Amino acid sequence: MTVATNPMTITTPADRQMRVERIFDAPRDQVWRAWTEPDLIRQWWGRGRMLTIERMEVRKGGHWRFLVEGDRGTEGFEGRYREVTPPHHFTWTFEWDGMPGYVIVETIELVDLGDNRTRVVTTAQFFTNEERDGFMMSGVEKGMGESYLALDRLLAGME
Amino acid sequence: MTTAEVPSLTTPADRVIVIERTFDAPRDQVWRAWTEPELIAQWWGRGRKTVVQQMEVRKGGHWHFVVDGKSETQGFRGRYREVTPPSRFVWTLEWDGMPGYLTIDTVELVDLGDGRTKLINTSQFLTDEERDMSLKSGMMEGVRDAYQALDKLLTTL
Repeated sequence: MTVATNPMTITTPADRQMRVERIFDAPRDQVWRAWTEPDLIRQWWGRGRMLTIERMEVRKGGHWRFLVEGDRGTEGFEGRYREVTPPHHFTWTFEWDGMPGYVIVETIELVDLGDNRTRVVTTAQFFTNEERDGFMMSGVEKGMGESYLALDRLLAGME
Repeated sequence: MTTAEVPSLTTPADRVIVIERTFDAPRDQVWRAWTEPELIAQWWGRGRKTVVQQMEVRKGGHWHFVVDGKSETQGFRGRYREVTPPSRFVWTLEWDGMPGYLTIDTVELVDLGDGRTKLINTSQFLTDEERDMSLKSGMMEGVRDAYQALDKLLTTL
């Protein structure tokens, strides 16, 4: 199956911020489900590798924790939902076990483009510019690119 | 007993609050009071009953305290970024009432060489708004009460 993919843009619009934009060929409700339902997010979020969802409480104050099988073994990611406003945005904290205590506050915004396409805008706010720059140099572009390709595939198969 | 020293508060940089306070106890004792569950439970929550649900004092470890409040209990939690006994640790701190808003707190203990220890607590906020909100929330009153409870605990060690 050939699945359409769209370009991803990464910018640094403000101090300590990284912004990633990408359009998906699917209605907003489907993209929202893919981000907020455990059975769906596990299929794409970890670069397409199947996630183990240890915890995913999609509500203000709820915790999440995912395990991803990576090249260097299992990697844990976790955080907490600050705000959940279906179907257009949520904010969660994000922390990788490899650098505990270095927290990113990430807002995921879904913009309904009105033609069954959805723009996903991810704004990551870091505590310092050094943390942002380190994150951006760590292969995030490749990683997110692979995850979003897996999301394209998932969305293409959804009703 | 002498009057307790009032903690000093400064905002030396954007998004930062620094609180300093000297304690009449050697650094090892102050370190224990910060890092042993049965000791921190006796002072951290302003002297109110504090239940230590989780406290893994090591890089990557989680902590979770529940403190008795005026009407209901208050949860606080976070994760240790760095633990360097007996002089310094860094943890994240989040109040359950505002989930997802956290500070990075560095606690430094300076041995003053005369049996006293200076505590320097640096809180880094994500935004100035969050810092200013914290300053207006009566945070200093809580810190003052907690450190007075810590004074009392230290006299028993």
